Amino acid sequence: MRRGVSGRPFRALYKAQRRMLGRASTGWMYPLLAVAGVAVIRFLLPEAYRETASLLLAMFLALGMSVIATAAVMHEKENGLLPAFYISGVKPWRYLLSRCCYAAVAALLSGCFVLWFGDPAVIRIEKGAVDWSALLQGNLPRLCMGAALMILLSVCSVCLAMLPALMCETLGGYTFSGAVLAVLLCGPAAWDLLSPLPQGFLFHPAVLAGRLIRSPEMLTRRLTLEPLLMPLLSFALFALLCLAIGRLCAGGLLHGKGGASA
Amino acid sequence: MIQVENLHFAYRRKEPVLQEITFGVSQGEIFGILGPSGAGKSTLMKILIGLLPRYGGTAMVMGQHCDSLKASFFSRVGVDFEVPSLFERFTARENLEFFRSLYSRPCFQVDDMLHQLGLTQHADQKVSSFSKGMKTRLNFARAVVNNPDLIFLDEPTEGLDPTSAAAMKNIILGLKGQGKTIVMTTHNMQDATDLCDRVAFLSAGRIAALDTPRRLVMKTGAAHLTYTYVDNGVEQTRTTPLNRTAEDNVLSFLLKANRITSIHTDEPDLSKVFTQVTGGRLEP
Repeated sequence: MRRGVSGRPFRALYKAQRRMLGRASTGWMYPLLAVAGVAVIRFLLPEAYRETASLLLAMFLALGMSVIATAAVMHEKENGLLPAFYISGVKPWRYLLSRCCYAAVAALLSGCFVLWFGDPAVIRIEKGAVDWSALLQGNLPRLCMGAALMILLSVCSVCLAMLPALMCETLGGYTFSGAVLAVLLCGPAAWDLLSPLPQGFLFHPAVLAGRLIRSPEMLTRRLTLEPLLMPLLSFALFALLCLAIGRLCAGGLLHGKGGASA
Repeated sequence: MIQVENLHFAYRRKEPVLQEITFGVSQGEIFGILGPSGAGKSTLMKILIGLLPRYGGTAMVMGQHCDSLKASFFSRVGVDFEVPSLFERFTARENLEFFRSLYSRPCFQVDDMLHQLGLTQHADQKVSSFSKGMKTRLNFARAVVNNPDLIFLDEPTEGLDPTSAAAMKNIILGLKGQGKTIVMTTHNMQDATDLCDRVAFLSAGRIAALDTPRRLVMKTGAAHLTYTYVDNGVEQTRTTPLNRTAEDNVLSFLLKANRITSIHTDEPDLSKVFTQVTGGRLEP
C-alpha cells in the first residue's frame, strides 16, 4: 500500500478527457482551423476581414469547445463514470473546470490569433522580427485582454453545453440538442454580422466577445470605455450566469441524474 | 457504522420506492440486502452513498447524514456499481491508477489488486477488449482501490464464472477480516448465505425480514429428514420432521438394521424462505 497521487484530481480528470477523446479533440487543431478560415476570409474579403475575423473565431470557439467538452461528458455518462467520480469526492466545480481547461488552452491561442489576424497593428513584424517595442507601448494589454475574453467565452460555452449533456441520455439525443444549441449560438451572431442594422446590441456571448475584441480603441492609450461599457457589463453578467448554470449542471451530472444506475 | 430509521423515498411524481426502512449495520459486518429486481435495493444504496439526497426519515453513515455528506466521507467509502464504471479506452492498470489519483488517503497497490483478481496478464490491455467477467472484477478493484472502511457492492458476482466468483468471495471475506464493513445487494441467495452475517429481505420497498441467514432459515419451520431404504427389492422413501425423528419407529428400526441407503436433511434455502416471507420470488 502506498499513498495515492494526492491533490491532483483536476489534472487526472483533464488527462482522462484528453485520452478519452483521442487525437481528434486536440486543442491545437482548433486554432489552426480557425486561422485557416480567417486567412481565407482575408484573401476573399480583404476589406472586411478586420470586422469579421474576431467574430468568426469567437463563434468557432464557442461551438468547437462546447462540442469537445460535452463529447467527453457524454462518453463518461454512457460509461457510467459520473457516479464513480461523485463517489470519489470530485466536486462539481472541479469537474466543470477540468472540462473547461481544454477549451481555455485553445482559447488562449485563439485570442492571440484573433488580434494577429484581426488587427495586424497589434503585433507588427518588421524585417522578419516581431516589433516588441510596439507591443510594450500599448498593444500588449489588448493582446492580453483579447486572450482573456476568448478564454471567458470558451468557458461560458462549455458551461452552457453542460445543459444538454445533463438532459440527454444518449449521444444521439445530445447530437440533436447540440444542433439546436449551435443554432442558438450561431444564429444571432451571424445575424449580427450580416444584417444592415447596427451591430453589437445582441445579448450573446460570441457577439459581445467579438465586438469587445475587435474594438480598436480598447485598452489602448486612446481608450474610451464608454461605448464598450454596456457590452462589457453584459458579457460579465453573462459569464456569471453561465458559470452558475455550468456549476448546477455539473452537480446534477455527478449526482447521477441520467448517469448509470448505482 | 450505518443507522437507518423510518426511511422512505419516492422518485418525483411516482409511487414510493422505499417505505419505513429501519436497520443498522455494525463495523466489520457484511450486511446483505436481498430482493428481486425493482424491490428498491439500488435506490437504498444510492441514498446511503448520497446520490439521492431528498429522502424522508433518517439515514446516517459513519456519523454523517446522507443528505449532506462531507468530503471526508467519500475518501472512506468504495462503491462497486452494478454497471462497470470504467474508461473503455484505458488499460486496466491506467483505470486503477486514475481512480487512485483521486484520493489523498493511502491506497492499495495497483499490481497487487490486479494479481488478486487474476488480471495481471491483462493489466496493459484496453478495457474495451475485456469480457463481462473481467470488467466486473476490474470494477470491483476500482471500488476498493482507495482502501475504504465501508464498501458497497451491487451484485458483486454477477456475470462471473464459478471459479472467479469463488475468488471474489474470498477477497470479500478477506476485506471483512481486515475490519471493513460491507453492504451488498444481491438476488443470489448462495452469495448471501456464503458471505453475509445478516440479511434483509426487501420486497416492494419494505423490509420483510432481517436476521442472520441461519436464523431466517430456522424460523420458517423445522427442516425435514428424508431417507431411503430397500424393502422387498423396491426402493422406498420416507420423510420425517427433524424434531420428531425419535418418534419415527421405521427410522429407528432401519438404523439398527443398517438398511438405510441414503439419508439427508432438506432445510429450506434463503430463496424458499424469501418466497415464504414475502410471497414473491427472489430470483428475477
